[in-house]
Amino acid sequence: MTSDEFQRLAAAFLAIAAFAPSAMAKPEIVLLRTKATFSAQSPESHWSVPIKSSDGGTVYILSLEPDFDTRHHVVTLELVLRHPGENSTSANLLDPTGKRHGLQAYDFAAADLAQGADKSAFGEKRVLSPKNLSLTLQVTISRTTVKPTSEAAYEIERLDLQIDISPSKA
Amino acid sequence: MLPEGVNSSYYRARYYDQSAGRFISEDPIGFAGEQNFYSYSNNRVPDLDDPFGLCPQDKPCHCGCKKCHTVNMLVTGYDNSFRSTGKNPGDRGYGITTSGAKAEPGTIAAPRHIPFGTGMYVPDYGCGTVQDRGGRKTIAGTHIDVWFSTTKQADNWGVHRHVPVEVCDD
Repeated sequence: MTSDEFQRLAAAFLAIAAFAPSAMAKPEIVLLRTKATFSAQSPESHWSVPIKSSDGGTVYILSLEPDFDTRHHVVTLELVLRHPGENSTSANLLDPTGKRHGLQAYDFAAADLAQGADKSAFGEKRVLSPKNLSLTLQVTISRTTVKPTSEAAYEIERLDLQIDISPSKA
Repeated sequence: MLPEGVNSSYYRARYYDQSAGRFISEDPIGFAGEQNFYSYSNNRVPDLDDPFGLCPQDKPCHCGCKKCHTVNMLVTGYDNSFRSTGKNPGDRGYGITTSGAKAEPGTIAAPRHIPFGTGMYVPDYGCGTVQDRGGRKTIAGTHIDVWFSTTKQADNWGVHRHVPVEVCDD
């Protein structure tokens, strides 16, 4: 190899190395504004929406999953983020550790909403920025109806959420 | 009269051959029970109790429960600390369970297939009610978490395996 050939090869290598990070970067999450609805009239129809990236692929599935009491009242609705193809036993990616207990910002519990969404533990506007997932969810409770099932328990009759999904830097 | 060399045990009403893993004398109730005179509680151990070999009866349940069944479970402890809940005192939702109820002694975190409000008797812990959830990967199958008011108590509980937990069917 001549000196000229070596220099041209080195220059080409450097050029590729300089552009490689941007060429290999993950496609960005596409902005999405959507409305999630739950109604006790049809508790088995679970709301879900695909979250897509700029290359058109589905990156995540966002769903609203009911959690029942012994009399089949919906006590809590959980906003769940998963990779496509994962089943209902797979971890919720909104839980950064995968082992959290207790009410979280992605939970909507009837008892917590009984005095109004604005008085709930996490408020009516919630921002979820799960680590390392390159997206932010802004969730607004636009409508909620709960009713008592017994002296100290409640069930969700209706819940409407406005959800805005935007890309964020991981 | 039993044959010589049989390693047997007398269980109140009849003999059990430990090497064969079966009773070697008939159930004294005979045909009034089931067709197999050598079985125990219709082979539905540990749901049923038949100490006198006379009639399978449902075990008396603890915690005021009328009907229950026993499941061998993995039982661990948790508390309100950041490690268990991702929240510190003063944070939104601190001390509140997934069902919206306040965490207190007797609070149990169970997998989602066990409804909120399900009563349980956990030996060495006592009576409790399912009010909470944990991560889908950790609190799953037959793994439950029982709540303690301090991290020290939760750590002292440690990991209890094969605990015969009574699950209330009422």
